[in-house]
Amino acid sequence: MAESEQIPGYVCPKCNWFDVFRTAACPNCHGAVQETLFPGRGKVASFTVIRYPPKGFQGESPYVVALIDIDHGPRVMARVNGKPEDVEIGKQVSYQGNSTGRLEFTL
Amino acid sequence: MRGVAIVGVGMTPVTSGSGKSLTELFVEAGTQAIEDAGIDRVDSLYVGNMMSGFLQNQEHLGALMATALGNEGVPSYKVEGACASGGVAANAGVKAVLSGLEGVVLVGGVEKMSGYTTPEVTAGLMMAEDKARVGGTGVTFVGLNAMIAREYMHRYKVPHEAIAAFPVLCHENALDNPKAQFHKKITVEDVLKSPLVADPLRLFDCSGIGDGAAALVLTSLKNARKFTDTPVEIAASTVGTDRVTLYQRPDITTFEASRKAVAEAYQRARVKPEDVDVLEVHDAFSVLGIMALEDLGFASKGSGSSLAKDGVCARDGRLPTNTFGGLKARGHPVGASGAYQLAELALQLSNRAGKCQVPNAEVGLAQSVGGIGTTVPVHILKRAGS
Repeated sequence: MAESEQIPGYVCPKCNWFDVFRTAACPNCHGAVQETLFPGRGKVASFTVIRYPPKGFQGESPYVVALIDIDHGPRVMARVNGKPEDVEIGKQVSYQGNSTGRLEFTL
Repeated sequence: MRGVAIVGVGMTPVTSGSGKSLTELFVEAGTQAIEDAGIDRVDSLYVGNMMSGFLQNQEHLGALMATALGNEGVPSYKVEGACASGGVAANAGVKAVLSGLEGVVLVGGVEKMSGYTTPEVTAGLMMAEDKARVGGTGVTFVGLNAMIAREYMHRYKVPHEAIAAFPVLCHENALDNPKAQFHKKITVEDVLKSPLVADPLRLFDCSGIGDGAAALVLTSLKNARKFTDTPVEIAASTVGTDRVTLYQRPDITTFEASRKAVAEAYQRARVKPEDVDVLEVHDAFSVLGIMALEDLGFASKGSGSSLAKDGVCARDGRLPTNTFGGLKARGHPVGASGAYQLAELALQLSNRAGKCQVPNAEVGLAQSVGGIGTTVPVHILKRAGS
């Protein structure tokens, strides 16, 4: 597997709070946050297979949405590309990118 | 004596395809509640609703419903807390009565969900989440709860059939409720064989799509007997909240908002879990019913399903739960469900629950959930002493 991209995010230099989503102030200590990069790897914490998608996502189902614990980084919700039957709690996933607000990983 | 009482209740049947408008639904429930209290006007109105703006292109429900009920001119509010809107509206009404500024208050909830496509309703329900964070993934509300169910079953080694006991219980109870959406007995096997909606949750793990409204008339405990011989005291009304997005929480198999709201409610009402005679929990999905039994103090983590499985939660058990069918089988018109729970508990505690009656019920507890465990109103009700 090729070395996966790093995941852009934000960290608070004062209290070490981190997230992949930009914020106006750190919710923990209210300080200013800085841009950072997290490793492009993580583990599946839980997941589901969406079979009845919401408006705007018809035609894509079935697809896997998972909670992913990024290595040395925050937990996120993301798509996992691959066969639904191959996804398991604890499986390693690699970051593929972020298109239009959708984080994508692959097995 | 400082306190609040329920002196009138009203509920429409929950149906899919009622053909009734949002306003007709609320007027039907509101009129029943007002007539039940023997009055024709209230001093204020708090109506819970989640999706009228999205599905009906209609907001401003406070004044709209006050006008439709012939109560124009009074302070009126729409209260929104996702699927817990009805419970949160009741909390607002309790505070209004306790403030002494509003003497007789109508609270309730209404939702019209049928007549729209499943993708439309699915998109509407997702408004309870933080769209910027998770909207782009195409996750659904069922999907979010499915991730909880998977983690719960994995961590506590609870099989799906144990969780499936909850919808089975609710369907059994709803057989005796003429206003329930589903009058159909189901088995654990039916749940496990029903189609997958969002793995591992299947169709019969999930509440359906329905229309309905419920309403209650509240007044001070001191004045309650002017309206009814069987007032029901609201001994505690609390609301807990938590971070909106599922992954912002350290543990997704427990709802901190539930634990916080119920701890405060037990303290205010001077009640312990073992004092509860009848319980209504937010079982929008099977796993949520099980988690509620744990978060509210009736079972340890991972063991809630045994209460549903072993008959403890049956109407003739030690802890009668969702006695009119709960969200799964009475129905879950989302913004109304919290108000249905309170109306049903009030009927239980005033000995007016018909075939659903639990004998000698004196203390009831209701827990409603908005979002993925984000906004949780808890109410403790007591049969009022004479």
